[in-house]
Amino acid sequence: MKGNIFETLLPFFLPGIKLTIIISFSAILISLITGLFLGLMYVSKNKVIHSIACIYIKIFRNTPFMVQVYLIYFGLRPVLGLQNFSAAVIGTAALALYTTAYVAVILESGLRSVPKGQYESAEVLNIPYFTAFFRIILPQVFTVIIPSLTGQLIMTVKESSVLTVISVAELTNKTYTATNETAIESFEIFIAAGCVYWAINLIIEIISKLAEKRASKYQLQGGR
Amino acid sequence: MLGDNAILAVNLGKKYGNNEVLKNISITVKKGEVVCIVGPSGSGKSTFLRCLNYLEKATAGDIIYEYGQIKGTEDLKGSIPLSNSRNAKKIRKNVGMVFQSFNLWPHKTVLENVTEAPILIKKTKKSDAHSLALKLLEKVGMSERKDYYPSQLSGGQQQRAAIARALAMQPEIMLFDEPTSALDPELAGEVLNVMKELAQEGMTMVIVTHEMGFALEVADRVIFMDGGYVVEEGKPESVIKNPQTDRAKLFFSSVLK
Amino acid sequence: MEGWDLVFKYIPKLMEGLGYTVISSVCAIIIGLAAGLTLAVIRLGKNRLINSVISVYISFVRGTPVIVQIFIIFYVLSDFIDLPPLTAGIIALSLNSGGFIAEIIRGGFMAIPKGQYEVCEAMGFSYLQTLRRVILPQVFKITLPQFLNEFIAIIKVSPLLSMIGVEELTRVAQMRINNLHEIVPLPFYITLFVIYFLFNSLLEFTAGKIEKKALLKKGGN
Repeated sequence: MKGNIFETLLPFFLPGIKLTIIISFSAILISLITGLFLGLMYVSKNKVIHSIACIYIKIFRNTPFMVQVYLIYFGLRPVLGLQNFSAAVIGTAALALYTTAYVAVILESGLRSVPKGQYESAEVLNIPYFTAFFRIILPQVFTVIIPSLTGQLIMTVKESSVLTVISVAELTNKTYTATNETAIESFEIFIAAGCVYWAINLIIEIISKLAEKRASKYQLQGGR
Repeated sequence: MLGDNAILAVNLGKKYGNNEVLKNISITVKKGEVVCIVGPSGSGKSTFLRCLNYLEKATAGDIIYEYGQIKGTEDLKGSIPLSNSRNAKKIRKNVGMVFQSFNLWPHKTVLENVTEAPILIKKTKKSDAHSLALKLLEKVGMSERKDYYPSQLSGGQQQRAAIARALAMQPEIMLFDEPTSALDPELAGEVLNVMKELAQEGMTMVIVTHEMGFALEVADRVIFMDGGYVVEEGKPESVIKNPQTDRAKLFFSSVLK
Repeated sequence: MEGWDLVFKYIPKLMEGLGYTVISSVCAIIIGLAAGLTLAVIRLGKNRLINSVISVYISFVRGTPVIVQIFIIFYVLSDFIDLPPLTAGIIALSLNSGGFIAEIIRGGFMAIPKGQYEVCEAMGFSYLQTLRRVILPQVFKITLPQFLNEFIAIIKVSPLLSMIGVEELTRVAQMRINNLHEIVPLPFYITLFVIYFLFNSLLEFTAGKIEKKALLKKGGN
């Protein structure tokens, strides 16, 4: 009987899992770049630039993601003439916009954790600011923020489930479909889906622990 | 103007808002000379050293090297001191700096720390940078640890690696900002030995330090600073052992105890 | 733009929805606090089996989407007993926040030095007295900012209750929009967005005030 449930659900779950992973990873990759820009704006000494970043972060962190998705998909998409883009694309963009605000805050704290001496030691060797930033500062920032970035990736995977409200065929959406198209009890199907999400996130956590271990050979506190 | 001088600091001043931390300081350093700057904390000695390679921007006076000149920013009367940063680059090409907190890059091995700047800035070939780095690490006694990350090293080893990193740019002048203050006494010795060797090879060195024994043994001249002023300067023996002013007497009697 | 006058006429109804959002969130945080505290205190004990059951529960709650949790509870409850969606929703959010709060409180317990327990033992306090008089007040102070954050977090997931038919703020707006095919829905969505933003910002501001006051009253760290 057990094998039967899985056989019945697999055709629903597999494409759902695939789309959930694609959407989540695209969103986090995009937001690493946009979040870096926003994070740099956030630490900027220029008051205007800092305030712009501040407002962006506040807006996206203080509203429910579901409402953001509604506003972007049902509210803004027709007005901005974006009907050509599919729900999955718009949904991924919305998820990236949302994740950007969180990644920016993580990067900001990472940037602040690098001691001033690291910039100075590059400066006295005549290493130009941008070279130093990308070769010397940023790698250190990433080592420090691996745990919080992992937490963020897990949160992004979880939030991607919200995209079911605009009928993106990700895992939660497929799960819902399965409740209508199979004879299995709805709560069982959702428990199974929960276990799949759980497994994805546990795997992410394990990979992150390995990455952390590799990075720990140059832990910051010893290297100052 | 410079003659056989390596560094000329003329009427140097530094203010943070209304707080004047360097007051009208004039110091010359001859080529090949080893100068130790001593004084109580907050005397302005580290600030002075950092002004010498433009990590701090002096607000008044001039710093003159044969490679270029840095002007106090207030003297420039609001014009953007572009010439300063251009000259600072030329100066830094020939002036190495060693920090109290080492500031090694934690995500790079010792060897990578040493080769990074020559490869990036001097466009040295990788193999040449490597062999130079190995030679320098040998010199500071760190060749066996070349593949270690900074966090795997003791403070003394880190500081010696940091010295090798500065030397890799083949500077003619070296600035040391309290290089042993973050170290336990037994580790300080190995760093001081490396510095002594450099001094004997004829490197021009300006050293901010608390190590009076080192100053007595290695320095050609000792400068005592207090409250943003140069209070005394001269032969190590006379300044440290036989200071003339009350402030210097008080300071040396407390540190030599 | 057209539609704004409709929005303004509809504001009282939206406020009613906000009322349900607040009610369900407040209930969820209170029950969640009780559940989380209980779980955290049980976890202080040394029973390995119970502890691992709790750990699995917390891990599941933290590792799965809230939507999925809401649907599980909704379907489980509606299969066995006939509960209104609001009740099912509150239970789901409570179980969710219970897991998160248990972790928050555990962090708080871990921040208390062992010496605090030892002092009490030396002075003859019972275990419960120690917890109530000495440990919990300190844990409360340490974890207060995270509690307040957790409350805002619940408000932010509460729109998901609209999926099971709870008539909270988002659902109210949605139903209105669905009934008005002819108008541009943007003003409604903007209004919805702004209400949440203002409400959460107000909460955040209040939370900051409460934190400051609590810290002042109980002295620095």
